[in-house]
Amino acid sequence: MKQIRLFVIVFMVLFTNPTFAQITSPAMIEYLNQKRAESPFTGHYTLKETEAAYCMMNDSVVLDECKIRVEYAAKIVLDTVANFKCNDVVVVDIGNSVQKFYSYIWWRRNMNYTLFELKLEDEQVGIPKSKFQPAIDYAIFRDLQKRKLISHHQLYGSKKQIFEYEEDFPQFEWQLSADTITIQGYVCQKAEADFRGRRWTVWFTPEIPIDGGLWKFNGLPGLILRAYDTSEHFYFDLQSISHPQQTGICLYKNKTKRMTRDKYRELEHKIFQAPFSPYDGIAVMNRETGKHEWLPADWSMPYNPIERE
Amino acid sequence: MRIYLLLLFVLGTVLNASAQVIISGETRDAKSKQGVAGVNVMLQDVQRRVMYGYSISNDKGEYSITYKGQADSLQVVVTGFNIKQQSHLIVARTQRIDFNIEYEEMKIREVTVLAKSVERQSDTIVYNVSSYANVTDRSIGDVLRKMPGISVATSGEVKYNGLAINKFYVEGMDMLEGRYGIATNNIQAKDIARVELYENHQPIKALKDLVDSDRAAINLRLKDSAKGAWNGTIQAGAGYKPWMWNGEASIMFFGRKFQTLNVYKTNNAGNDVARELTSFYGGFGSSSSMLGVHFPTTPNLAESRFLNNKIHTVSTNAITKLNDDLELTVNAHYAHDYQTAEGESRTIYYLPDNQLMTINERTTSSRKYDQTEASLQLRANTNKYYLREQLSFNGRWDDDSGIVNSNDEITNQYLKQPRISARNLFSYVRRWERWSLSVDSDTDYNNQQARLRILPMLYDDVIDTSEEYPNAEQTMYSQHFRSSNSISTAYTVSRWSFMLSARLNADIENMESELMAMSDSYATLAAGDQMKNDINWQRYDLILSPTIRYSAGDKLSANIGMPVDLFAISSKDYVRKDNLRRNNVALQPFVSLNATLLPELKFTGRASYFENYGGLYDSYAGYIMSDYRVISNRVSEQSKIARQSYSASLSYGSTLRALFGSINASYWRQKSNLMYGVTYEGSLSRTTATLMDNYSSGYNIGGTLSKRFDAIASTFSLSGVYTNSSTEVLRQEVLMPLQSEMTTLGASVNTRFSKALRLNYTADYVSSRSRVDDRSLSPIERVQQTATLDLIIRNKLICRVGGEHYFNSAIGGDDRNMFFLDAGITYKSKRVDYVLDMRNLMDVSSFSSASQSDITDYMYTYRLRPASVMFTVKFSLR
Repeated sequence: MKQIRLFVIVFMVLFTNPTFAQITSPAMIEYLNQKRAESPFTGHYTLKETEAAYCMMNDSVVLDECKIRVEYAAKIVLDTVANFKCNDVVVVDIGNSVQKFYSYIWWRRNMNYTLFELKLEDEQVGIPKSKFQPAIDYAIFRDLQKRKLISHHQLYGSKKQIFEYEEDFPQFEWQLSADTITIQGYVCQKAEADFRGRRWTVWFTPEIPIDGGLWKFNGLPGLILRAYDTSEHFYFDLQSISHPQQTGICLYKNKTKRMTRDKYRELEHKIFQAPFSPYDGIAVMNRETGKHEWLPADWSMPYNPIERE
Repeated sequence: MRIYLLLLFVLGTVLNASAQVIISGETRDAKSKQGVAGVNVMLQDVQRRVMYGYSISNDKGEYSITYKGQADSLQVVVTGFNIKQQSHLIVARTQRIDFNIEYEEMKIREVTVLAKSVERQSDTIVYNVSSYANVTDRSIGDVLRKMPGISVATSGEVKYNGLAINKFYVEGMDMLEGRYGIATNNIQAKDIARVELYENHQPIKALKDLVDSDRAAINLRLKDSAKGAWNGTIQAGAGYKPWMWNGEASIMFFGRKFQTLNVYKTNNAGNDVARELTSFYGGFGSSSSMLGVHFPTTPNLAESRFLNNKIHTVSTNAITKLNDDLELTVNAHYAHDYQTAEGESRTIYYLPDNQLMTINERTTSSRKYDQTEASLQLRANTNKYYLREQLSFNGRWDDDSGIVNSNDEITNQYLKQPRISARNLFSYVRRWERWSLSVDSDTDYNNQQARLRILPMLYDDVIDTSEEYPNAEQTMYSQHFRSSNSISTAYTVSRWSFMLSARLNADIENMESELMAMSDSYATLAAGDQMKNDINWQRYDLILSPTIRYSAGDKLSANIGMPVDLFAISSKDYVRKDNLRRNNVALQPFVSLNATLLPELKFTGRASYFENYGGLYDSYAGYIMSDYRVISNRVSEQSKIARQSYSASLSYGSTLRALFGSINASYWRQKSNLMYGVTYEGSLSRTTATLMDNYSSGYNIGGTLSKRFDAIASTFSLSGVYTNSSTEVLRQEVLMPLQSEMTTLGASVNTRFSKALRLNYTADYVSSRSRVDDRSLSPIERVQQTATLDLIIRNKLICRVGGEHYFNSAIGGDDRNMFFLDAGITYKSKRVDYVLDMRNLMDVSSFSSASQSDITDYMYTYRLRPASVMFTVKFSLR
C-alpha cells in the first residue's frame, strides 16, 4: 500500500484512551523510523526513542550461570510488501537448567533506556545509526526442568511492562535428511519440520549435543547453527559460540502482565490490524510541500509474525 | 508378562529384520541407576557421517529409535548436555541397549564468524580491526596503515583518500584533539575492536547540514574488555654504540564518563618521541622564529638513522563528562631534548650570465629545548547547541649553538630564544529549527625574545667590527597580540540557507631588533639605525560575509559566499620615524559544491579568490641577521597578493570491493606587487623587495588508490602527484622565469606469503626538473625503497629483517645508491615482550644527497648513527 511509505504516527491526538497506548511493537517503531529516512515525508513530530517500549534492566535476578553463549546473525523481513529486512543479532545463553533466547540489539536498547532513565547515559559525539535494528522484541526463557517456554514480549507504549505467556515445549516433527554441511568447522545435518504455519529448515550439529536454544526449536540432538523458513523471511545464521566468563542468565524485573498465548496473539494481531482505530487519524508532514497529511484511521501495519497460527 | 513382551520383541525383530529395526532401552545414571531424561541417542552410519535416527530420552530415561535402512551395522552414539559421550558399534537388528550415563563438563570449540573486514553504513565506514591486526603490530597506528583508504604519514598524520582527517575520537570522545598521535602510538592494537570512519564529518553537531565538511573523522571503538579498566605498558631498553637507553611508560583508562591517557618517554636512540606531541590541526603554537643557528640539512632518511638526541617527554590528558552535555578536557605536555648534528655541504647558486657561486660548509651544531603546553577546555556538543571555552598556555625555551667551518674560516654561533604564548578560544552555536546563531572569539598573546651571537663576524662591511669588537649580536623582541571575533546567523527555508557573519579582527605587534658589534666579553656597541628596527604594526579588519547555501538532502550542497574585508593597517617605524597608514577593501569570494554521486562516490569542487596584504615581516627597513651568513631587510611598499584557485576532487570508497581511491586536480594563479630579490656579496645575501608586478601559477594532478584482499590479508596502495609551477625569480637584479615540474609516485604493499611470513614494502619515486631562463637544469631523480620481512613462529617469536635502499641521480660515485640493513627478534609472552633490535648492520656512516630548489643546487653529507644493538623489555599491565 502507498501509505506504507508514509511513516510515523505523528500526532497522538490529545484526548486518547490511555489504555490504548500499546500501539505497535517496538520493532515496528524501528521500522517506521527507518522508513521515514527513506520516504520523502518527514514528521512534524518524531517519536523519541524513550517513548517506545522499553523495560528496565537495573533490577534483575540471576536464574542460572551461562555456560555457553551462542550468537546468531538474524535477517528478518518485517514488511513482505516492501521486502524490508532487519539485521538483528540474537543470543542464546545456555545454562544447566535455564536457556534464554533474546536479541542483543534489543537488549542493548533496553539497557540504554535504563541508563537514560537513571540518568547514567548521555549522548555521544557523532555516533551513526547502527546497521542493526532489533527485530526480535521478545525474550524466551526455557525452563529445562519443567519443560516450559516462557515468552516475554514488549509492545509500544508498554513502558517498563512485560507481556508474559507460558507454554509447554512444543512438538516438532523433524524429518532428518542425509544432507550435511560444515559451518565453522562443525558438521551439520539438515532437518525439516512444519511449525505454526511455516516450514522450517535447520542445520544442526550432533557435535554440540544441546537441544533447543534458538527461538522455540526443540527436539533435536544437537545445536542448530542455521535455521530459516521456506520464504526466508526469518534467517538465523551462527555468528559465534563461546564459553563466557562468569556470566549470569538474567531475568529483569518489570511489571509483568500474564496471559495465555492465545490472548497475547489476539492482542498483537489487533494492534497490527488497526493501530490507529481509536484516533481520528494520523498527521504526517510531507517534506516536499511542508504540509500535513492525514492517514486514514483504518491504516494497518505490515504484519509478518514468526508464528502464523 | 515381561517374557511375553520380550518374545514379541524378538519375534518382531526376526519378522521385520529387513524392513524395520528398533533400538530401545534406558539411559541410567551410572551411580544411582535412575533414569536420565534429555539424553540423545543417535543412530549413525559406521563412519559417523550421517544420522539415520535419534531419540531423546523421556522423564523415565526411556528411548526408542526406529531404523528403516539397509546397513548391516550401525553406530549408536549417546550424547547430552554435560554428559560424557559414548559410542558403540552394533549389528543392525532390533535390540535393547541400556546406557550408563556419566557426566562431564561440556567443552566446545569456540568459533566466531569473522566480520567483514570493511563495511559501509551510509556515511560511516567500519573497519574490523581483527581482520587487519596480527602479532607484529605494536600500536593501533600500525593497523590503521593497513586499512584501505586510510594512510598514515611518517609524521603520524592520518589521511583518508589523501585528505587529512579533522577529528580523532576514542569511543566518541575527543580528548587529544590534534595530538592524536599520542593515541595512535600508545593504544595497543589488541584493545581496539573496530575503527569507524565518518565521511564528510562536521564535528559541531549544531552546524550539521549548515556548514559542509570535506574531511573525514576517525573513531576508535574499544573491545569491551578494554573499556572501563586501567591499562598500560612499561618499557625499558638498553643498547650499544653509542650507549643507549630507551624507556616508556603509559597508563590509560577509557570509560563512559572519563578517559585519560598519560605517557612518559625517554631515549637517546634517535627516536624523536616529541613528534607525537605535535598537533596536526596546526594553527596555534609559538610563532616561527626568524633567527637561527646554522644546522646541517637533515637527510631524507628515517629519522632514527641520523638523529642524535637525549629526549624526555611527558604527556597527560584527561576528559570527563561533568553532566549530560558538558565535558571538561585537560591536557599538559612537556618535552626536553638535546640534539646534535654534524654535516658538510656545498651550495651552488646559479647566477645570471651563467655564473656560479659555491659555498662549502662543515657544520657541527646542537639544539637544546624545553617546551611545555597546557590547556583546559570546557565543551558541550549537542544537536541544539555547541559551546567551547579553551584556555591554553605554551612556552618554548631554545638554547642552540653551532660551529661552521666555511672555507677554513670558523664561526661560532649561540642562540637563546624564549617564547611564550597564551590563547583563549570561545565558541558558541545555538540552533533552532530554522535559525542558528554563532559567536566565536579567538585571542592570543605571543612574546618572543631572541638573541643570536656570532663569533667572529665574518663580514666587516656590514657592521663596524673592530679588533676589540670582532663579533656580532643580533637581538629581536616581539610582542604579538591577535584577536578574532565573529557573530553570525543563518536562516534556513526549505532547501536554502542564508548566512551572514560579521568578524572583527585585531592584530597588533611590536618588534624591536638590533644587530650590534660585540666584544669577546659580550659587551656590545650600539648599532646604527640601518641595523635597527622598532616597529609597531597594527591591523584591524571588519569582515562581512554573506553566504548562500543550497542543499538537496544528502545528495548535493552548494555554497556561494562573498566575504568583504574592510581593513586598516598602520605601521610605525620609530627608528626611521616613518608612518604608514592604509585603509583598503579586500574581496574573498568563493563558490563550492559537494555532491554525492553514488553512496561510494563523492565530488567536491571549489573556486575562490583571495586578496591579502603583507604583514610586519614583509616590510622592515633595518637589517636582520637570521643566519651567520644571511642578512636581509625588506624595504618596500605594502605587499599585496591576489590569488585565485580552483580545485576539484572525486573520492571513492567501496567497501564491497574493499577499493578506495581519489583523484584531485587544482590550479592556482597569483599576482604579487613585490619581487623579493636576493643579491650575493661574497657569501652574504641580502633580500630586498622591489615594487614590480609579477605572476606565478601552477597546477597539480594527484590520485590515490588502495585495495584490500582479505583472502590473502593484503593491502596494496598507490599514490601519485604531478605538480607544475611557473614563477619568476630575481637574481642579481635580473628577473628570470622559472618553471619547475615535480612527479611523485608511491606504492606500498602489505602482504603475506603464508601465515608465518609477512612482507611490508614501500617505494617512493620523486623526479624534479626545472628550467630557468630557457636553461634546463639537470633533473634529479630519487628513489626510496623499504622492505621488512617478518617470520612469525607460533605467534610468539617474530624474526624481522628490514632493508632500505636510496637512489639519488644527482650524486656521483658510490653514494648514488645507499643500502641499510636492520634485523630484530621479538619474543612475545602473555604480558611481556622481549625485543632485540639491530640497526644499520652494514654500518653506513654518512649519507650524501643533493637537492634542487629555486635556482640553487645543494649537496650535503650528514653523519649517521653507527651500527647498534638494543634490547628492550616491554610489560603490559593487562
